[in-house]
Amino acid sequence: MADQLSNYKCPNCGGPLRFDPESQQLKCSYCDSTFTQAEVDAFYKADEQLAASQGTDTQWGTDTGDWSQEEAAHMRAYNCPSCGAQLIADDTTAVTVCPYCSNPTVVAAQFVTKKPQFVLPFQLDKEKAVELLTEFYKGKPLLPRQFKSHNHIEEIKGVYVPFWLYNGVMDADMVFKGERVMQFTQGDEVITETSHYQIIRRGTVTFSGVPADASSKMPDEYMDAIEPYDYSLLKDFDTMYLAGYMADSYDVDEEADRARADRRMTASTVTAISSTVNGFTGLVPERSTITRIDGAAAYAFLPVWLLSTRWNGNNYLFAVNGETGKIVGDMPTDKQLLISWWLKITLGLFAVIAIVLYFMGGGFL
Amino acid sequence: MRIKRLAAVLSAVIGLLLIFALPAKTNAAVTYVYDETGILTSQQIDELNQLAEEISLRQECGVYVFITSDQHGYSERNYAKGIFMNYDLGYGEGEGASGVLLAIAAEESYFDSVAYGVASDVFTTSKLDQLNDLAFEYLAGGDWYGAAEAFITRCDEMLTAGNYHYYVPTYTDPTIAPNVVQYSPAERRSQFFGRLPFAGIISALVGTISVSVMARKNKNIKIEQTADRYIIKNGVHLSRNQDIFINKTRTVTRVHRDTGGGGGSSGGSHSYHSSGFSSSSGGRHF
Repeated sequence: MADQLSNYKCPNCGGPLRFDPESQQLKCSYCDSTFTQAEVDAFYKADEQLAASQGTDTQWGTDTGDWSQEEAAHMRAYNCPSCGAQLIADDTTAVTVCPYCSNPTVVAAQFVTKKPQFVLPFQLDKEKAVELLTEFYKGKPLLPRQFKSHNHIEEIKGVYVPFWLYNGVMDADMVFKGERVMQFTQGDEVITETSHYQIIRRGTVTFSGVPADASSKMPDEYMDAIEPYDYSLLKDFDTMYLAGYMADSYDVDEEADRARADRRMTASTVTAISSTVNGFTGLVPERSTITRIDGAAAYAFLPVWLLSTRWNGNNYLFAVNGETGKIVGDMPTDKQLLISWWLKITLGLFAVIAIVLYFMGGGFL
Repeated sequence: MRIKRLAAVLSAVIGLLLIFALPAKTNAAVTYVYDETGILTSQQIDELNQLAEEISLRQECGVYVFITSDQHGYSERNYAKGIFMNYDLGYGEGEGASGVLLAIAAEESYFDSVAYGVASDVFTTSKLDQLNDLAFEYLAGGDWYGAAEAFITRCDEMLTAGNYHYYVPTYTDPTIAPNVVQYSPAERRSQFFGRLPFAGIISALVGTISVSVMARKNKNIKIEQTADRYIIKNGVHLSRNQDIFINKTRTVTRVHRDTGGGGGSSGGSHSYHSSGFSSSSGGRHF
């Protein structure tokens, strides 16, 4: 089922080019030729010049970019009428199945999304993602057997999930009460001296790249759990990296997502500043004022392999970090297996304890 | 299918426990001569009882012959001791009990003698061995009555020859394991079944915790609360770092030192070997 195609054509044979995670280059699906971005850019010199004339902001900012006319011409948008996901792909990609809810009737929509500033290219190919997910199912004794056999792992889809990456400088003003205790003996007396202190810490903590997914369709806890991503592999966005994958367009703006990032940065600021207080016992925070004094956000696509599967009328979503291979997803629990394991463990242990008690007690038969 | 199999296992376990729980035969009667097997006639028992009672009261030392059907769950080594303790034998009460016992397990054709309390002064291991030798002569010939009578009579002679006088002794270290000697099979059964509910609760708890851990393996998503990993290198800067001393409090605790000497000697009381028993070199089969 060819649901994703590329708008790059092979300079050798004219076949479609896909981004190959292993070589981090574009690879022809027909003749297996590989090309660097520079080589493809040279081939499409005219397009490159056009793209260069539009320019790309590579600095952190709080705004998203606009697609160049040329880029936009090759992009298409799709809506999932079931879950409302808004997907984008290049113009020859036929997105037929929603990666979030497996709905097979996605429909074309108007392409109005913003262009990301950065993209973190897929580092894991589909084969590896399938292998990892298969491994993930192992060692879970309460997972229904039918679930493993019926969830079509091979239908896993590579999706660039939209993220806001927040930078921020948090200002902290914290006051603690603390004690230092000294104990010594004089004659028949034990003397305890307790010195009481007011501990003041003021300072800043600087954060970079705190992620918050910008898709309302992607559950926040999934994308929090799938962290971390190695940002050293971030690239300036180029449509080349979309080849062979689909992307979810953002529908949660930078302001709406900022509260999530602020909450996390505030918690970590309290921890970081508190860790500078040493040598006291009975440390009690008296006052804590944490304020963000600077901040910016960048819009980026981060790679995720998604598998949405239905079982017993419920939708189960699994996400594989397209860079590290970390897998997140809640799996169903077979209640019969759960009761069976509980009985096995409880009765087995009860029998062992009973036998031990019998022989420790000297027996009575 | 799986549930049916588990139900079968559960039924088997419960059935087994019910079998264990059936009341065991108990022997409440305590006399000087006791026969739960019916080997001795009532008349023989009465005669022996009269003889043993007369000697026991005169010597102030219980002299007993017990014939049991089996060893009552005791090892051969502990059989006679166990019978002595379980039937609360001895002249005098509690630690003051003094007596000597010939215990015969009919089914195992095993017997042994044991002495407890002050009687151990007289009935040393060598004396008990002599008593065992005497009993063996009769038992080997199937003369159970003769064995009992000879044992009681010889005990009387030994007590007199040993200048036995009753007193309440002090024991230093009663180390006989209570679960081996000091509880009867019925008591141990009762203890066992008394502990089973706790075993059941512990097992159920462990089972619940185990399946909870297994179920948790199926869940691995959670909202991240912190952003520690996104603090840049050297990203924490303090503009004010001040520890202001406010005051000092002082508490004084007086230490009571114990300067007294150790306890004095407890002269007058007699110390025994740890268990209060004296035993023969070992019982015999006949």
